[in-house]
Amino acid sequence: MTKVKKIVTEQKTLVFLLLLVILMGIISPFFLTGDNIVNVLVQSSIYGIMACGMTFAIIGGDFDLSVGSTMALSGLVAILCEPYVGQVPAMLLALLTAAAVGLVNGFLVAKCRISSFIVTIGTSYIFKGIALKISNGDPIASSNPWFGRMGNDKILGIPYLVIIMVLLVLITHYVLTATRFGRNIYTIGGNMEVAHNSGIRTGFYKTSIFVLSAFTAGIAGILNASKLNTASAVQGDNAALSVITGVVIGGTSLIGGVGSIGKSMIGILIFSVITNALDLMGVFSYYQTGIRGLMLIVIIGMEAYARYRES
Amino acid sequence: MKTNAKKIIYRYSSLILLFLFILIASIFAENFFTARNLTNVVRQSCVLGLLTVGMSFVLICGHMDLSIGSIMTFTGLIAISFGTRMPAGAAIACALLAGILCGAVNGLIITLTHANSGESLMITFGTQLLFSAVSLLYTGGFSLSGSESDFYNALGTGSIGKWLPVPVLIYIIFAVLLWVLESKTSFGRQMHMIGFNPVCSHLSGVRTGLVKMVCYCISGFCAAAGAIILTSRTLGATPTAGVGYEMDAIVAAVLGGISLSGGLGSIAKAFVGVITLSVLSNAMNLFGFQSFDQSIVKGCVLIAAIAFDVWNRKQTV
Amino acid sequence: MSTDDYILKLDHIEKSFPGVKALKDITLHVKKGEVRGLVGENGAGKSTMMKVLTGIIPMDSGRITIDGQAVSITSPLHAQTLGLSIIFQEFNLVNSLSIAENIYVGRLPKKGMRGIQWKKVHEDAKALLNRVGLDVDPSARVGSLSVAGKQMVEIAKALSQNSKIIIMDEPSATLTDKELEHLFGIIDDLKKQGVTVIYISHRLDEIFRLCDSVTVIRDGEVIDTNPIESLTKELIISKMVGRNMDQEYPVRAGSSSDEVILEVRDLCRKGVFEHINFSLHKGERLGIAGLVGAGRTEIVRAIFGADKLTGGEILLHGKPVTIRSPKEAISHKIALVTEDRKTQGLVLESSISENTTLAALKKICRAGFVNRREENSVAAQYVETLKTKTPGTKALVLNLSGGNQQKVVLAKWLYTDAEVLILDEPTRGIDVGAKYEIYQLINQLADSGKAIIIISSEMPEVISMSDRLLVIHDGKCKGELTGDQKTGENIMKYAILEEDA
Repeated sequence: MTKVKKIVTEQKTLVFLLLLVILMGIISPFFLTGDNIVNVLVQSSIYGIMACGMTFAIIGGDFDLSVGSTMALSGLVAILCEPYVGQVPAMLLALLTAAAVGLVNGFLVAKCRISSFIVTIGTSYIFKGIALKISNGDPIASSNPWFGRMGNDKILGIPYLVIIMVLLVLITHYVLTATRFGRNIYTIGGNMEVAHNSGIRTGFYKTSIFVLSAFTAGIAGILNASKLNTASAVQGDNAALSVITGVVIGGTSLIGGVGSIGKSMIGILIFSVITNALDLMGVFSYYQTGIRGLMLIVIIGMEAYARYRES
Repeated sequence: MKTNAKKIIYRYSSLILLFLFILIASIFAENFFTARNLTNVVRQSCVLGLLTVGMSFVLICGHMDLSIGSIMTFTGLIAISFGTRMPAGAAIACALLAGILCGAVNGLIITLTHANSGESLMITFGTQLLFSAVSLLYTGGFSLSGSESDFYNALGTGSIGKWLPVPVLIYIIFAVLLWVLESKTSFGRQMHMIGFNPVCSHLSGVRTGLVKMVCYCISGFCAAAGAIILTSRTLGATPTAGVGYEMDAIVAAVLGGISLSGGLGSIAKAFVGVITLSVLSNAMNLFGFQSFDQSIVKGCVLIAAIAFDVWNRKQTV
Repeated sequence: MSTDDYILKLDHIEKSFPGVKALKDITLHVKKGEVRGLVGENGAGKSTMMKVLTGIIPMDSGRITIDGQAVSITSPLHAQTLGLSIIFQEFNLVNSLSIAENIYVGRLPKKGMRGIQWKKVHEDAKALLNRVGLDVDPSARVGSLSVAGKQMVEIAKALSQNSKIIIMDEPSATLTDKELEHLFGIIDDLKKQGVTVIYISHRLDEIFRLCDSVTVIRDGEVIDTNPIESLTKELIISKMVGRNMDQEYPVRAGSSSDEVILEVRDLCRKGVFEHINFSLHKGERLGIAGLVGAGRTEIVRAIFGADKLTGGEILLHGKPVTIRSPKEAISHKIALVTEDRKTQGLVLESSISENTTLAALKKICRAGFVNRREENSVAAQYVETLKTKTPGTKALVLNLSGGNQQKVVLAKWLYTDAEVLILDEPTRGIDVGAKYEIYQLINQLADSGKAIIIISSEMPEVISMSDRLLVIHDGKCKGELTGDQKTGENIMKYAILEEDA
């Protein structure tokens, strides 16, 4: 009994997700079909991929609000460069661009010691401006038929998107739990000074956090452009806060030093399941926005209150 | 002597930045330093100015308000739609009240849950979604055309004499009143102390919850005031009118020198930050920059200003 | 004696900061396996010396020799690799990580692609924890440990690095006596294993219990080093302060009256304390003694309205009152000087003026407007009467020393015209000179008719500075001592012995 209680209190969000799935399974017979489950996973894949990088950032005690711009920029680079260099090099260039964005963020946070919140607001203006500039503000369609298949094709009934997401989640999990690199990020997020005193090169890790975050945003940007067969500068407009919301709802604390990719994914999935469920029930999208807002308030509010009661 | 000069530079760094921009703009754009254009600069800063002043109250007491954009949207819709059924004055009062109520919702949730700075960010992101959903549902996603009241329309477009636009007058009155509240009163003092150290303030008998609550209400109220000027000027309300304003308000506040970690800052600084941003975009318009380039420049200026601030602090301490 | 017996040698260390010479020609030699006491007032240069030793700040000149090898230490990590570990007062631990991970932070053992060997980490950590006598699961979070537990983890961490020299900076500040005894046991063991310990402390009892020899530092200089046998407490104190201290505690002139100001009946807070009864007279200094964690702080916090009561009654001047918040307590003329000055007592980034008036802002407000001129003159008055050392009332509290910060806290509460002053560890982390001033002030306040509750973990302090003494143990009031009954033996009898019964 106490063991059950312990699991429920420690894995609140997982329990919540399971209850949600069971409830939906009862309400809508279509919900638990294979097709729909794949559908939910595809819906979560873009934000899920970005959540991998964002989890590094938030565990390290930082924010990355520029992932939306990064995502848009990399999608555009992948499509715009293709006629000149071919598809694969164009995609590599897109990833390189994303990593460069992360390097800029990381440099400003780690070396100039500016709060990551402000840095990434600033750089999101800059990189969205660049994205708008190179696309002239228009959506750009891909001319390479092969490009769009990445985001839409399946293997054995499983879309590539989902496979890529799962792979990235597994890699992130490995890095965070089984490598010194990952553990050092926890240490930095938990207590910067201890990390420094223990000989952890904080500057290097802070920079890496942002490079990783931007890199996964770059992957997400390419895949999103591929899924839609189009890239546009406004594609990532809501991405940053949505991804952060998912990560935080999953239980990765904004204070830093706590969390895991598993938790982040639960948070992202909760959102996808709810969106999917509301769609299935035919709830108008305006209500969905409101319900998402309410949920966010309730979950964060409960967490805040629990933290207050503890201390 | 040398350290004194440094201190002055540090203290007035945001003002110096503003003058630098004005200087550059005056030299390179011949029609910048004209009464007409300068009036325009101030006129264009009114809406963002009101929002930033409100946001500053929340920032100073150590929190964050991402919902002001959607409060502005919502209250704009209220002002316009109510205006068809009642006199403009009553509609305005309703809109302002709605703004205060939205702020109170934020404040209440944050006070009751004892949320910290980061959590207040997420919670107000939640209320942002909530308020914008309410706006969308209220009009079914459609825009409303402007008010037929001359009084209402004068609020955003009219001017007293030749050089004093009504919205500027409103903005200045609000800014001065709120500046007095922030810098001269015991409420303002308590707000700063809470921003620096909420625990000590509570143990010294400050009603921290109440003060935070009032700050959020002021933020909501200012968003509503901004909404009235915006809908009056643009002759209509759309359910997406306020999107993105919260980030601009944060940028303006930070440019003016308000710290996101609480305590430090003033309404005067917020004012300077808004004017700086406004001069910047006006000058860029005169130079013929496209909106993409403007976005890039804005980001660079924000980062440069903060980098300078951080560097400066390191030098003076 | 050949020089090779010395494991750590500091020779002619100098360090200047702009305007101050922090370390002057420091020479300190420590033998292998020795427990060396290091004492000095706050600001004497101990912490600067520690920072130089760990490479946090570079020294201007001088030489450090470890085990016969001249070294130049560049970082705390470098110091560790040289076998030198320091346990700071502010623990160098990450609360959100496990105990095992904290011990091996930054150097977790790994094996190729298999990654970190968590099993080995936990096994090794368990062995180390056994060695320091801490019986907990190494996968538990450090944040869940008590202060003493964290101290043990720090020691385990030092042991895991095979440290030859362990420096402990005021390890006892927050430990209970029982935990302290445990710590002493560990230090004795370390000594037997040939580990050298440098023990920095304000508490001379501990120095006499533990150390083989004592070095006194004053004003950035080493005064001298003597074997413990040749020293007395009085001698050490006079070396520390540079003058003869005939008495550590001033004797109050007046005495308490019979008029009861505050009375509490049957106070309870579920799971924290229960059935607390006492009365406080006008002009009385009521001491509250007991171990850290016995519930002393919690009781006064509840009286002050900072925590909720679950039962009982508070009477002021014979009338029952309800106090639901600090604000209400203040309006009932109760003041609480909290034990944690920096996070609870002061707004560090604000000026002395603003801190002084914080709890009674109304008094300098007209129609809601702050009268700054009056505010500054009020603050200036308190700066003068309390002899606060500061360049002016507009100086930030951040830049003051501990003793002067405490005076600002006292000024804040005096300005509220409180009748009941509750002082929770009023002299923690304050140097000897400023302590004496604060004691004098407490006596003056009592003589002027204020009712004072004083909580302290330092037994001599709570005995000498109180007219009457309550002993709290395990959330219950175990005894009341007056006059000659107020002895360390009696306090300990009530504070500890009950546990076995």
